[in-house]
Amino acid sequence: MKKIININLASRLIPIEDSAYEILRQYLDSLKKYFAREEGADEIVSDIEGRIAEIFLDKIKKGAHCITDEDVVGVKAVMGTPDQFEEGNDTNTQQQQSAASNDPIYDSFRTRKRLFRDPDAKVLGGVCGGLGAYLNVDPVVFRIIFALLAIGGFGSGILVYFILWVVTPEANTAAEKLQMRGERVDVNNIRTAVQDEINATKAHLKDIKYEMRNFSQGRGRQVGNDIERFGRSLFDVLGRILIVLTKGFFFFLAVVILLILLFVGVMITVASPVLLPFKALLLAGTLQNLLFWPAVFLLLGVPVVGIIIFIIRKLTGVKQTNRYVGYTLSFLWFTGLICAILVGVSVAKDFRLRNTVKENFALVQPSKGKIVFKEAENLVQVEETFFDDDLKLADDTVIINNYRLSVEKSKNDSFYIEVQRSSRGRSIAQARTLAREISYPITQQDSVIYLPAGISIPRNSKFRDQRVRIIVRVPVNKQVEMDSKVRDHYHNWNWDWDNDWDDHHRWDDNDDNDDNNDNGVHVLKMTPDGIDKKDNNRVTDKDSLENNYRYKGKQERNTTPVEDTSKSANATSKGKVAFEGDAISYSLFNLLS
Amino acid sequence: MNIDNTQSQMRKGVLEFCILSIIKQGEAYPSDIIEKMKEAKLDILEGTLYPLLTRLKNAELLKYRWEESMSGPPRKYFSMTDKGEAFYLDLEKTWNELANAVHQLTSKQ
Repeated sequence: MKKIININLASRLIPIEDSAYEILRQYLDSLKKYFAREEGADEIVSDIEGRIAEIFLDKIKKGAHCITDEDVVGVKAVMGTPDQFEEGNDTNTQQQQSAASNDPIYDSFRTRKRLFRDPDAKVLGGVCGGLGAYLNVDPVVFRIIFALLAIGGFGSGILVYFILWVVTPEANTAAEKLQMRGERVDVNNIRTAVQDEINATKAHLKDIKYEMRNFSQGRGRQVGNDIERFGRSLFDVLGRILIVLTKGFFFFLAVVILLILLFVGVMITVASPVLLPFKALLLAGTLQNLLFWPAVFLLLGVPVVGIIIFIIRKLTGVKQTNRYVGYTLSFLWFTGLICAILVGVSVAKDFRLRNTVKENFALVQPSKGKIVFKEAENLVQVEETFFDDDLKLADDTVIINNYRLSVEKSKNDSFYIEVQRSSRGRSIAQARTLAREISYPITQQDSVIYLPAGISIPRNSKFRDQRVRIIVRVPVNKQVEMDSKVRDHYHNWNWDWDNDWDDHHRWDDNDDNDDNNDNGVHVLKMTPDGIDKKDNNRVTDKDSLENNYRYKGKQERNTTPVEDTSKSANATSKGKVAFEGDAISYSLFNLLS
Repeated sequence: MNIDNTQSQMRKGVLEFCILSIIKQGEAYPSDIIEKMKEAKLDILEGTLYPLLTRLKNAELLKYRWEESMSGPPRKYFSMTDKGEAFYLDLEKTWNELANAVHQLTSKQ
């Protein structure tokens, strides 16, 4: 379907198809341009128009409703297009033309390009278009260059552009346009150029209204719209990237937590054969045992399951979530939590009270007035050790390195030891029972007392923080020696079971850690005033240092071996424990090294 | 050298003369002239004719009168002026000389 318009052609009303009109108009314009240089051009053109109108009317008379594209094309063929016209005037220009083409210098002069602004290819002022035509490059390249210069060169691109805009003339006439493109400026080329221009403009406009519309919504505006759209989409993209990153981060976090939980779970499973005995030791009663495993599984398992579900959902992109899943998981987890709490509370109750069993053991008095403490060899086959030898696992017992040794004045003239076994329990009676179950066999051989390395708890008993304290009662002026291992458990002053239990290492602060060196032995002597409660060991150490530096010096402090204990007693009547004998230098060596 | 060019040049040379001779025979309007030219196997485009006629008219070698027609726009009927007549005679003379010369030259082959 085509639109039909009525035209006034040589005073005649002729209905013609819209597209046909375009062709006709173009043709007539080309004629006008062609004859523009002729005298009486208007007359010529109107004559031709009259002729064309005649032909058209003829067609209509013959039955056509309107003039079609084919009709116009036919008329063009009959009438001839400007480039086909031959007239007398042509000869001159043609001769000129041939003459010109033979002259290379003339040729180059003619084809030399001039820089114009191209109004047909303009976004702002046609500067880039003109440059593009001059250099035979796509104008877009120049636009990019100018844009970059404007941004990167601190706006210098804008300045350059404006200068060019002002300075460069616009190519308005056909001749100028030809010059811009560097084509030979002659009549034929002008004709061609004009033709091209007609074609080009025709492609854009239909009539003046169209032209106006195009002007107002020029490329500049289009570019503006594009920029706006781009900006919006950029924000869109940025926002989306942010969301994706956040989601990704949480996802990653979830995976990490999952891995940690799984790892913990695996560790527990792997370690369970080892840990199970501990569980048996720790947990007592049906309630605790019953609740323990559910608590563990629910507390750890539910988050694991939840995270797995979360990850699966993210991976498969399933949007909808079953509400009940969340509820049930939370419920289960809380159940696990409650079980764990119950177990915890129950276990704590088992540790509530402490009770001690005290026993005295008489010792065979040593001949030399010095009793020696050594740590006994492990009699039991040890399977596993934990915590740096503090906890040993044997076949049917657990050995805990939890004994302490104190030295106190004897109430009489002989050595004896007090063994205090202590345990916690739910009730006093239970604690007492458990305390009795502590196995800590002490053996004596001549003047050496062997202390077991740790307290044993039979397997079917419970771990309830059992501790053993050995108090050595030393008569005045008698001595006690202990090997390094025992020394680690030495505790010098009155203490409470719980408060001072861990203070025993303070003594060792100033010394080098002599745990594994069996050569470092310590000898203590009991004085009438007992062992000073203060931190006299350090002071004593200093004294000893001084002593030995001034070895030949003060007679008073000069300590001698065991036999002269009485003298030493006088010398050290200040109530300090003195180091004696070879042991001093050795221990000093240990001090200083 | 382009033969089309030369040929076109030859034609152009005699066009004016031919047209004038047609009009000399009687009043004619452009379509008519073209018809006659066609008959004489000397095709000419209307776009070529019109400017030529106009030029001749401007040179006062031709004159025209409008004639309204029932079926179509008014037509220009061209006829020769006295000046045109004289011009034509000159052209005729030139043509005869030319024709003889060419004939003479070409027949000596």
